[in-house]
Amino acid sequence: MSSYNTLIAVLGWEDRFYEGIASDLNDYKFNSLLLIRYTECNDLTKPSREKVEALCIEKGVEVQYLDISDNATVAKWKRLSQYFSSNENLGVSVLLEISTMPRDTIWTLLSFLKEFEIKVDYVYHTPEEYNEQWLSREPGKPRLLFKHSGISRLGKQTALIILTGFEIERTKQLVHFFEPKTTLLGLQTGSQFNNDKRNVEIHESIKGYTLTEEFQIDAYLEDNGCEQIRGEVERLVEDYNIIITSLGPKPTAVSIYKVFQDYPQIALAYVPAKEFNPEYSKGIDKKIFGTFK
Amino acid sequence: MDRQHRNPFEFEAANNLSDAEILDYYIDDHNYGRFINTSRNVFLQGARGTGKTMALLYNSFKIQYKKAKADNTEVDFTRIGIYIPCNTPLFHKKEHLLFEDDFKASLLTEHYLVLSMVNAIATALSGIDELSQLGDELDNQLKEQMEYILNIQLLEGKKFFEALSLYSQREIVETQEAVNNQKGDDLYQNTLTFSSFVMPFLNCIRRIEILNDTHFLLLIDDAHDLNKHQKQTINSWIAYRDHSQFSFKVATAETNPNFQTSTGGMILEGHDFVSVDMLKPYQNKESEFWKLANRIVSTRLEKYGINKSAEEFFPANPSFEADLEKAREKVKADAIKKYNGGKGTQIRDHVAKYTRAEYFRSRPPQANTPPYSGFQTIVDVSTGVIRNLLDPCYHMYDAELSNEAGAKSPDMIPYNVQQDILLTRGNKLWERLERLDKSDADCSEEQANHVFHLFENIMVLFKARLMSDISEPRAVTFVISEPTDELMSALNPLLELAEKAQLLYTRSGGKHKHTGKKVTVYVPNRILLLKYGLDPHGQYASVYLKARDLYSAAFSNQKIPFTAGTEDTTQASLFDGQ
Repeated sequence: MSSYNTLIAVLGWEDRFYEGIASDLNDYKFNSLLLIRYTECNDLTKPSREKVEALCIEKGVEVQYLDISDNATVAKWKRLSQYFSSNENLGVSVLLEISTMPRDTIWTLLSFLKEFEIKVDYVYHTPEEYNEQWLSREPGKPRLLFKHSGISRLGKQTALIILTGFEIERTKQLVHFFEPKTTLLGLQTGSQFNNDKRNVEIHESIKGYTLTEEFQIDAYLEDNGCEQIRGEVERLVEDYNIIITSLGPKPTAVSIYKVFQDYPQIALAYVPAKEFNPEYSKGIDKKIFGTFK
Repeated sequence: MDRQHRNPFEFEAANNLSDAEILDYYIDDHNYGRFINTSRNVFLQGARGTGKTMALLYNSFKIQYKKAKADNTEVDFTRIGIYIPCNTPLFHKKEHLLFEDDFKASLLTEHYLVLSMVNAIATALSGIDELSQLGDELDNQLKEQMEYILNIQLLEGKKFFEALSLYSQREIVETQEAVNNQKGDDLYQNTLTFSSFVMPFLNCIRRIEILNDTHFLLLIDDAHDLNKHQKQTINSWIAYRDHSQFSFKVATAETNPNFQTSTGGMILEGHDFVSVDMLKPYQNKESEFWKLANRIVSTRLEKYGINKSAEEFFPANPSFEADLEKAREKVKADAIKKYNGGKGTQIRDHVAKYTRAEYFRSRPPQANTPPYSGFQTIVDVSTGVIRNLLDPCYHMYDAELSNEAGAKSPDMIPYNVQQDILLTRGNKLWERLERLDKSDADCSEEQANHVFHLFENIMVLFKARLMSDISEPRAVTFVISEPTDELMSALNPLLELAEKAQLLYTRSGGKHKHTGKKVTVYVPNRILLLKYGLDPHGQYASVYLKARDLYSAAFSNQKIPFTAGTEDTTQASLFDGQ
């Protein structure tokens, strides 16, 4: 059984938060669990917190909390920056449980963790099913992540790379907000979760607003689509200021970060959501494991 | 890309068009150009898609220079427009928020703005033949002067403008690298300001003979994307008294832009700047917008080798024309009876006013949606916004191209395709309206419900009016009457959200029929009217709606009271610019 010093997760309310943590605790050994607790979701996450605490007592894993407001972007960045200014709380190996971790948090953590000479792996659990009604709403304005806003060159047009997800409105919102010359839609291969139908709808929703190209990506490959993303970035990086975002499976956020390390001129964008469906997803299905460094 | 396979009605952001496309597509109405080419500071205000970017780009020196060369006319160096886009990743950066000290944030973001500006000027001028022929001596003198002022080294072996363009490019890259990699709260050391860089640069290039008397028009596009520091900085520059050398033309989608300066003062309309409303008057074939729309569509058809007028390309359903004629005959007969033969223009006026209402009213209750089609209808639903005009045209062309599956490009759009697309686009906007919180960062779920109820009840009222024998049955705009602070503080946020989402437009300039005071006229996006079978053509009138009724409509989903005979409308000429 592999062992890590620390498991890091964002406290969630979905089945797959608790079931994901339970699976991780079953598969690996940890000294401690660091839970980032977004204060906006305190009420929603209370039941799962109690369950995880009980499980950790049983497994002899120490639980630590890092309380942060998700909406206070500046304070959030500073708090995380301060906490991760040294690795004395983390040990020499970390597993990131990214199943319920917002993408900007994944990138923020990777940006701090990459500074340390430690091992960083990540794990993601796909849900058994997603809610068909809605996943999130009241989205905030798209934002470029602090310190990851790229190196913009004057006079270059914008290219927007979107690894698309379930919500067509998000893709449309990003295109309307950044008004890119060209948009590359990274579409998940396969027909799971009605991908085929949705991919057509996504393309249709931005017709006429931007030049649009598509490329296929498979987040469930061993490299989580990293080489496919890298290929597209390489193709465009000379001619455009690139903004890239992921609305699709979370492991692609890690892939994007890996590409960003080689191309710091690209900007990482995300769309914060103010409200999530308490019934966002059900159960857990496949486990995806990867190594960041 | 081959034009044959492109859609003539593409409406992507104008700053993504090539120079040739801008020259091809821009329709100079000799109106905005007049404002842009003055030495006054100007705010161009209008929702997205009203043509702000196109107007700025067309008046930029890069395009005007190419135009002069193509037309074989003399290049005018007395006015040089420099296009400075702000919807770029550079202006979406947020690192300045991490500074504890606001002053540092202001310095850093002004630095970005200043470098963008100098780069745009230097790049635009470096491509001009007349300026690339500067003698080596003058070129070296200019370089030395800027090197001395900025304490920098410009690249050897490059001409002055190119060297300065490269310097600003290198500087912007170095700044971003430093900012992105910086851990603490230290400010990048070499920040530049308008007075330390732009003004010395503009002074310096006056030494070039053909730029001796040049006035630079700094065309700031998408200023709503700037952060508050950058907006205040521009306002401070606008407040600068001497405008012999430069002026600002600021395009913004904000309804109420912030006019505060960096020092806490305010710039004043009329004194420091003039505002230009980019929403155009529209309605009938004589209106400015109808003419502009006709020229835009005709030009695009011509460029794609389609030799048809806009009305031939988008024909109206013949049954609509025939039924409208029947309605006209009936209204005329009624008018002759009512006015006992009529005097002067009495019969003609009555027919003009009530024919369309009669058409909509006389449709059997079980009939399908009216056969919305024809170029006039497309102009009507655009609500005076160019992008709203091109959007359905684009989708109609696209649908017809798909229908013809591999055949040649369409040479007209059948009326049934037009109708399908108009209804689909209208329904899509309703879907957005129903869940505005899904697309608007500032809209809560509760507010989205209120906005939806407000619009639904307004549409129900418009429908009731259309079906009634009243004076102005086709009025589809409104003015708010009996406003109180309490009611308006609840309603205004909803109206602002709707306006931001382009579900609603506002116009000022109408006058209250009793008090004579200026009123704001609210114009719902006319494509929303189609779902309710309303007449998107509207008429020169606005309905007075009481603030308390609108409040009840929005917050309690209550119908807006209407009884034929008690209606209240204004016929002030709200849309014809009088």
